[in-house]
Amino acid sequence: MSKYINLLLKGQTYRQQEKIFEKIRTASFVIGFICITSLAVVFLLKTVKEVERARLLSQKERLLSELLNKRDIEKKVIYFNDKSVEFENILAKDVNFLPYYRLLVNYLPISTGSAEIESMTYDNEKNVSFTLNFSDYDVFYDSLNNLEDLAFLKIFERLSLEEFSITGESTNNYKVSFSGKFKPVDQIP
Amino acid sequence: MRIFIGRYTRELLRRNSIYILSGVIFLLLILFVLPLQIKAYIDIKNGNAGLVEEIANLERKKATILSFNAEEVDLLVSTLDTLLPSKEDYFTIFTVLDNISTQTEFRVVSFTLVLSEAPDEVLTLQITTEGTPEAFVKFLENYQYKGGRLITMDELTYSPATAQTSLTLVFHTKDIKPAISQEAPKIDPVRLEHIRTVARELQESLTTSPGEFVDTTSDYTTKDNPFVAF
Repeated sequence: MSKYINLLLKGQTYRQQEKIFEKIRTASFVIGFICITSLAVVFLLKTVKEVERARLLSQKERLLSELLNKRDIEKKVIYFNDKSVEFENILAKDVNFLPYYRLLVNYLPISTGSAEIESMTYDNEKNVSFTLNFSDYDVFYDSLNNLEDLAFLKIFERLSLEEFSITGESTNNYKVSFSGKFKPVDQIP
Repeated sequence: MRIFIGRYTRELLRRNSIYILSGVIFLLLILFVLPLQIKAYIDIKNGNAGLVEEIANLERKKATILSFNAEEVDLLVSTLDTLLPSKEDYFTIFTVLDNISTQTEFRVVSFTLVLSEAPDEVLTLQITTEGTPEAFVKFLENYQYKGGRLITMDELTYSPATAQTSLTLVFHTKDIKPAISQEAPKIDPVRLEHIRTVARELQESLTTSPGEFVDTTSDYTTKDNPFVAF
């Protein structure tokens, strides 16, 4: 029995194999190129960052050493800062009545002597109540008109007339009581 | 099962083995080494960003510290320690009341220490005063700190027609332990300027107040046992 070799078929298979190996070679070149380029780029970036890190570390070390020389003053500044915050917090809780007292005296006809503040109560929530005494009806009438003036009312968040009375026999005494709440000083026009 | 590889194929494999091997090595490098390098790069980058922030913080801290001179810090600290001492010293209260009376002419005629129910760092004092409405205004101008201690009031009742006025004053103390941190202290310029003004006004009021002024600082030696000699 004689054997036959199909050379045409074998040649086709070899060409196919050569093409596959050619593709493998191309792929190796491409992968190699990508790998080397990527590693080189990353290495370069890393080196740049490492140099930057060394510079930053040295800068930090210099700053820390400078601050170490000023440790005493630093402690004092921190202490001052903490204590001044407490100081301001405590002061903020105070009644701080002076600016409001001045405003009231400015608006009320106290300086002329025709009216007087009988009493006033004020707390650190800015709630206020005050009683005014008038001995003269005309002054009393004018004052009430003035108190309705918008500029006076602008210093209060709210203000209400609590009581009004006329006392005395020979000379009338007009008494008015108000209660309300002041606006914060920085919001008063 | 045995795989038959032809001679030609073997020859192709032998000739291309270097390419196959290098391809595999490059692939392994891309899969395993490159991610590690990228991670190391990102770590350094993040670390640098952290360092930049730390340095900026230290620079701010340095600038804050250098913005004070040693003398000014000492003055401001001693002012705050006088006004807001670390612990209560009852003797300074007499001096402060005396200073306020002298400065404002709104005389303190009597006072009562309210020791019960007093929380820590607060001392309540009920005082009876007398003076003109003008003296009352001066009192309102001065009582907060110009007497030599930080004083506040929660409520105030004033009757100009009445000879005497009762007021409740609150004296404060605050013990502060400075803790050094990496963060720069946040010094509010408005607050700083206010404390500078307070220090200046305190010095002026204590040096120009008529009559005899006694400094309220409690910077003197103390002993635990009063019956043992120094």
